[in-house]
Amino acid sequence: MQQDARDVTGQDDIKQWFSRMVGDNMDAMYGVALHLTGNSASAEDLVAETVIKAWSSIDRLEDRGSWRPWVFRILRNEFISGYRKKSIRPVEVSWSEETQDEDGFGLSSMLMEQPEEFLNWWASPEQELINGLLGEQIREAIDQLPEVFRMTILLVNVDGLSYDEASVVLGVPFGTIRSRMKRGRTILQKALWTAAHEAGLAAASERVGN
Amino acid sequence: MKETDQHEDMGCLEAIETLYAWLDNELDPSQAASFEHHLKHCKSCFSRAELERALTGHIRRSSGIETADGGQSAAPASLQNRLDKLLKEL
Repeated sequence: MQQDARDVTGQDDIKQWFSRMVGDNMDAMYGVALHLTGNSASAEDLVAETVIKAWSSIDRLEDRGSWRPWVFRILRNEFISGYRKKSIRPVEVSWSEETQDEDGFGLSSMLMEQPEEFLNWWASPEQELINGLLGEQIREAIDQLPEVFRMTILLVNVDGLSYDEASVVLGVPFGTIRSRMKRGRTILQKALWTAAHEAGLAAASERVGN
Repeated sequence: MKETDQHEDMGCLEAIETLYAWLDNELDPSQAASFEHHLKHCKSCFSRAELERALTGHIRRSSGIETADGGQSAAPASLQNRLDKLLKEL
């Protein structure tokens, strides 16, 4: 996806290179913008504003191999400044990430707890039926995640951003992204496990985490 | 937990801690090789990795923007047209 600036030669001028980078990364930019703004019209506006801003600042890009994190930083700044102009605060991300979740399970991974029942359920021969049910359950579980975890998982697992790129978009250190991915996915596991029990898809005899 | 443990480079505890970074392609080559070596020798961790890989696929599909070839969400044609025009005017 990312093209190294070393590919830029005399016959391939900066404008062509820039256009190519925009084209190659359009889907990722749109995906991120969609998750930040929450609607397609605003996402399109944000991407267009980002491209204009990026072109006007192209001389400041010292390492063209770092185009993606650079343009994601611009996208984030445009998103924040857009909210400032409208006097609306962007999504608040100030809640503690150090507290335990409130589902009573704590945050130790189900994988750590060796839930053979869970593993067996996942590998069930009724996989197709389960997969169909899981779609709705996963959507609900993602929607119910605390915003910091939800956004991080969407940026990494859906938009395909690296942890570095996600840290730029969200304005947090790399280690925080790594931590959020682990914690977010753990909360998701447990939400699905609970949903599976409630839907009768897994035996209720053993509640993992107790 | 492990069926064989002749390699001391990574245990199950570390493997589980490393799993998400591996799934997200965030490990350097030597870390990834060490993790994958562990998976080859640990059925339990292999199953867990497969489970989490499946969950990642479910997350993409459930978010409704996975492309047919399993790639990322696609920008709509309206945005492509808009950017084409914009880039021509640069």
